[in-house]
Amino acid sequence: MSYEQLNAMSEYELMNLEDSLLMERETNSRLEIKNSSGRFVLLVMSAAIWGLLMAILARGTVSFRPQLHGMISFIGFFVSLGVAVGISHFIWRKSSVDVRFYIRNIVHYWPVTFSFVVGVIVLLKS
Amino acid sequence: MKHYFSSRYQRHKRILRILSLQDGYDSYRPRRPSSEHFIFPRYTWVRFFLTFGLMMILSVPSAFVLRVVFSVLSPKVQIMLMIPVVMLIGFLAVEIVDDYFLRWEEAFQEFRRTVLPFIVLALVVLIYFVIKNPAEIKRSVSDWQESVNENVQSKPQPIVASPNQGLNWRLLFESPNYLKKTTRNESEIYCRSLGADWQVFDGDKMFIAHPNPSFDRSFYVWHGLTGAVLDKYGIQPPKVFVTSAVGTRFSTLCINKRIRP
Repeated sequence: MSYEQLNAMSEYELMNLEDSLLMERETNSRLEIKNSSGRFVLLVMSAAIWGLLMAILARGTVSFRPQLHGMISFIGFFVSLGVAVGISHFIWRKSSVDVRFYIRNIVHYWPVTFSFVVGVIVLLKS
Repeated sequence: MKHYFSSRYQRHKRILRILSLQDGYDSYRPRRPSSEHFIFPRYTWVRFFLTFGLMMILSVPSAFVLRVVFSVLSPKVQIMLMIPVVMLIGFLAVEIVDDYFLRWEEAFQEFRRTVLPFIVLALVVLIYFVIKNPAEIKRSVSDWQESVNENVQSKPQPIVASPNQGLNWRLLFESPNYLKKTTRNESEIYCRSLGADWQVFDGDKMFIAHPNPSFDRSFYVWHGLTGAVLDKYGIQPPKVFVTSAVGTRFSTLCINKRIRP
């Protein structure tokens, strides 16, 4: 599509088109796009869910025999990683275009977000 | 910078982003080489540091203004005032970096499309000649190197010498405060032309320059077949030497050992 063709589209159509192009690359299993806010969100979300799953696993197997606990932890380590990536991709895919748009902007304009968060924390603490 | 806030500019930016996503010529491009497969690709850190640096630069005028205003405000109001200002600075920094990268990516693509083929063609031609006649290329490169070297070496040496000549020593000047750089043969010819007892400086410890000059910098003069360094202490037995090759040029200092103060 040329610039003129894109310029003729409405704002909403453009937003959807950009989102579909980004989504296609962000959720690519061959990891071909990295430099996008969405990818960063997926990375953070996967890490957070993985941490949570690992915590649940550790808590749930605490009463098991040490040998069994070791085996389950070892297998669970890898399985939970896959599950975490799957869940994060699922959440990201199922969230609406607007939500993805706002989250991407929050990450892209990180100085604005960062200064706002730090400012509010300082304001509340003072 | 005002246009960064307009919806028209943001729309234009979005269209360019879509185009770059479709064409795949920017950092979003698919089929990137495997070396770039990392959590963050090549421009992320550049973008980060550029944004950070820009924020620092943009903070300077606002900090100056705020310091004046702050003196009459309470700390809480100060923070409330600071938050939107820093947010604004952050927004501007991100926009400027985005702007730069969008232009740069386009320009780079244009460069690849227009100039790069010619550079590749020139390289292919050069490689063809190198393979066909390596000796000729080697000789022409060394000739060129020699000519450049000669041009650089024959540039006169600036110096402030006080005095600029003595009873028993002479420097060869090209113009006032500029020493002429000569080959070994030329320096010998010049010294002999001064008279029977004149010779090229040989670093003799018994030789005492009269009056001993002071130089404002260190420089090389001929000393046998090597170059020797003279510095602010004047004409002394040299301690630092440099080897010479065919075509090497140094400044010329002639001395006369028979004239004793």
